[in-house]
Amino acid sequence: MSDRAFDDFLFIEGLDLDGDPDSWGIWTGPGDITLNVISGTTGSAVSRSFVGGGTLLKVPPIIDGIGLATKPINFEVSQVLTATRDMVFGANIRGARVTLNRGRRDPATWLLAANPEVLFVGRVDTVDGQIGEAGGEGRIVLSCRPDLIDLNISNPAMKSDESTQERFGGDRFRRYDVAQIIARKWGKQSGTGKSKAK
Amino acid sequence: MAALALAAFADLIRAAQVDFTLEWNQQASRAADGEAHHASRGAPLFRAKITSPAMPIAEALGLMALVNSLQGSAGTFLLYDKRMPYPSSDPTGSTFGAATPVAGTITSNVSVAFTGFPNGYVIPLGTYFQIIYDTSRYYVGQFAAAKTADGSGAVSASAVTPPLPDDVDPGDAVTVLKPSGKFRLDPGSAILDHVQIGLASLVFSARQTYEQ
Repeated sequence: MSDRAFDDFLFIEGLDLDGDPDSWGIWTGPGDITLNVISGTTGSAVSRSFVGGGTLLKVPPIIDGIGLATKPINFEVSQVLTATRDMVFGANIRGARVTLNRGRRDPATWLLAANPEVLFVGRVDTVDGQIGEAGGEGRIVLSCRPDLIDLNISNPAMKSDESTQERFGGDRFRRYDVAQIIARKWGKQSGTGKSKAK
Repeated sequence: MAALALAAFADLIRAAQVDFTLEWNQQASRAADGEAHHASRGAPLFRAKITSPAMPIAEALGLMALVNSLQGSAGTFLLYDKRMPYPSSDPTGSTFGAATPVAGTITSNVSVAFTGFPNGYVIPLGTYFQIIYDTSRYYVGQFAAAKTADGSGAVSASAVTPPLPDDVDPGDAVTVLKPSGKFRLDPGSAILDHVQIGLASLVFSARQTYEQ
């Protein structure tokens, strides 16, 4: 019999309100657990602790796509439990690194078959706290973007003759600095469409 | 908020009708030929539905006050399968007495041994048992094999269901007397059903939780 149970593990590395690194682990199982999972950055096993019991509500399908476009992945976490409320409202998780691991259980033992594998590495983009009304249901939606987003960001601190003229008209200090969109050719030679590596 | 103890709530209900069902929380992948494969996505937990016999209004309202003291679905209470509070081999629990068994070697989450049962204690198939772990989390499950404790009270590795949570450890306290799980009321499920003038019966449904 193949693996017949799955657990999802979400690990978020952000900052506390003092600006110091802080991290939170939540998972779909009951109770708290500390186990080795595969790191999304090094690919080797790391020991991490996860808080369960209804913290991680929903993990959407992770869709693979071609190209540099990034699609948001919306993780849903509890708006009621202290563990997730503290993470969202009592810390700074804007841009925090998110790693999703999925563990498989062997039905013969119901133990995790191996270190949970990485399914997704990304960053928290936006947070939407949907507090339920009386009789309603709520959730906190962590909208995350894959790490690919790092290839798409522009540098807002660019300096150029144009930006200097906007602020200090007539200042020629950056006369020969030109700000322009520079196409990044990943693995291709510019203009030829041919692969660089032969 | 601490869970309502057995004596404070569950023992006071004289259940007339009881459902105590394990829900597996599984997903399916279904092929065109109709063959489906299933995998669990959440911990299997019990769901209980209890209907009390008709009782005088004052008694029913008293039980309802206890229900309301749970603050809707916020609080938890301990509940066991009212149809079988004791092993069928020991219908009053007197043989078990004040024994304090503990979980022994946990081979896997579906196979666990025990120590500290009364010597030669007979555990029929389907006997409920409870493990308190991680301070105040409650596991309730059933023996999926008929076992008998040996001359020193040890029970060899037995199949159990549902699977144990990962943080149950050897040495955690076990009992087979009124083995309970922690339950939380389904929102709005607790009602007084007025069967006739002066009499009412309490109906509620609840879901198990492993919370502390």
